[in-house]
Amino acid sequence: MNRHATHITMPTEKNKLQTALKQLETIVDDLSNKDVDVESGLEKFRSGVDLIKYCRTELNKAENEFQKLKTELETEETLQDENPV
Amino acid sequence: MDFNLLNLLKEKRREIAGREGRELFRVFQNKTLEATVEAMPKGLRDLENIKGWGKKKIAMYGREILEVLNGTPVNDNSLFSFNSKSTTPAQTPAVKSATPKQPAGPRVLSVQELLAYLNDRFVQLGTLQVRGEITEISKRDNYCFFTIKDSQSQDHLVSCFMGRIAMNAYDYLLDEGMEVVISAVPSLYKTGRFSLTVSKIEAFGEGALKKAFEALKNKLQDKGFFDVERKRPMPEYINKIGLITSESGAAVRDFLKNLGNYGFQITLCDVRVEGDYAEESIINAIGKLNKARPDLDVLVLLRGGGSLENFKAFNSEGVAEAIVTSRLPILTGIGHERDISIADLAADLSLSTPTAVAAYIKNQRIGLIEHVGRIADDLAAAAENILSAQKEKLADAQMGLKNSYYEILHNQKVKLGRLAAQMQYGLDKVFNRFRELEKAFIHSFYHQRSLIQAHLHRTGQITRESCIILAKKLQFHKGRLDVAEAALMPLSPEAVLKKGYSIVYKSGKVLKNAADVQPGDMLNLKLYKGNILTSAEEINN
Repeated sequence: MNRHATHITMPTEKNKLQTALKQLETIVDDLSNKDVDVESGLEKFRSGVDLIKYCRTELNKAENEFQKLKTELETEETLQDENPV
Repeated sequence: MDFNLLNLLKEKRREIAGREGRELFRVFQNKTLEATVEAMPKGLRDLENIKGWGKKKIAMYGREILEVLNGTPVNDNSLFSFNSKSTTPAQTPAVKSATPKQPAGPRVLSVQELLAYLNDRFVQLGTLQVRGEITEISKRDNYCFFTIKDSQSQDHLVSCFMGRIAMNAYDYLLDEGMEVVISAVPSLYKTGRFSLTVSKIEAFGEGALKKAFEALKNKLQDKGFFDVERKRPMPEYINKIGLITSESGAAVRDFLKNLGNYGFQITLCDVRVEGDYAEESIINAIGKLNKARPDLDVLVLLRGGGSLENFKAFNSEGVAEAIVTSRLPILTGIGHERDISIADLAADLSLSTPTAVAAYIKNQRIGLIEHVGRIADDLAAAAENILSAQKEKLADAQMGLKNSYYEILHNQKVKLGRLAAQMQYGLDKVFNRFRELEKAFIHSFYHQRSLIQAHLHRTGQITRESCIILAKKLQFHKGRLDVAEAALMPLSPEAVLKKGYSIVYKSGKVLKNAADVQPGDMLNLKLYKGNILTSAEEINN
């Protein structure tokens, strides 16, 4: 929804996940400690939900990538072990 | 043609050929003999016109052949005959009649007439030859007087006068007691003095001749005729000989017999060797040969043995002068061993006899032949020496070449060996270095490999560690996310709706104050589940 976009600073390319997580945790802090009205609370919440979705996607993506790389590495290591110089 | 004669000639030819050891045709060809029979020559001169006869042949065989043809020994005047007068010496005309013709009738003569008459008679007598001893010599510058005395009688004397010309020639004979024959013309002077005008003086008798000989010898000695310095050396090579002698004498036979067969070219010049014409004949021969035959090597003057009287010509001043003035050198062989003539003394070389002359010439030729032989031998030896020296040189050179070749070969071998050794050493060095390099390379290779393996190992480790870290980090992030999610969910403002609360929106905004509403405004009620759209009816503040 367009009106949420103003509240959430989309993380930069670099350590955007880190930023997203931080924002998320700030939102959680804000919502738990302050007397937030329904309207802004709702907005923050929605941003939190979006951030969770985003972080999860990113984490999944990173994990997938990691797994993939890890497999490649292991394959390479195996190959190297089989063919010593 | 007279074949008997031809046969006789052929027989003669055989005889000559046998004698000289020559082949028949070399002596005469048949054609020549036939032509000779046809021509029937009378003298040596006639032979010249017959084909096949040369001067040499005529000189060698002419006489013999003519003897055969004519059946008698030939006494021909030779080719060079300067004296073709009768062979008998002119005799002094004998005064047959000592008595002059008696004048007709008694007649008285004046002294002048008598002297004239007598003189006339004397002149008719011509030249007289008178023998006697010279005495009372009285010399003037250009003439002289002397008296000639009968040898047997002291009392018989004749006065003599000799003019300039005769004096020059016979002065040397003017010696007291000299026995001479004078040639003279008798004459009577106005004073009645009788005198002989002498034209010639000749020594007479052994003693006188000896004396005359000595006198002439002294005279010519003074003139330098016999000087050794004047004499010409004999040519080293005598081949052409001008022979001056009587062709019928024993001298020429002895000479030719002893000359040997060496191919001498002999030109015989026949001369009188004694008698009145001998001197002139010899002088002419010397003069003529000098003039006509300048090619001759030597003139040989020969005469056989005889008395001093016989040698008169050879002891004459004229012959001596002819010998001295001869351009060709003159060799003499006159008389027997002991005889020495003026000609001998004047000659360039004199030998005792004709035979000795022949032997001299022959020996000279033999010597020359031997000399040539020796020279030829020397030459051959020298050539041999040169050849052998060259051969030796060549052999040395060959040996040297061979040796130097071997040396070179050896040097090359040594060099090659050294090079091979050097190369071997070098190669070994290279190989050793290579081996070292190889070792170093293998070493560094293993080192590199272990480094790489270490790196790989480390890389693997790091990779694994990073994987772990990364996984942890992911886990950590996930955890944070889960915590945040878990914390967030209950914090949703809409969670109150579950408990029965509702949210009123007016125109999309949450309505918190009733005063903001007018009756009839449209309100949206949001419940836990679903929405209610309603309108305001009554407002209570």
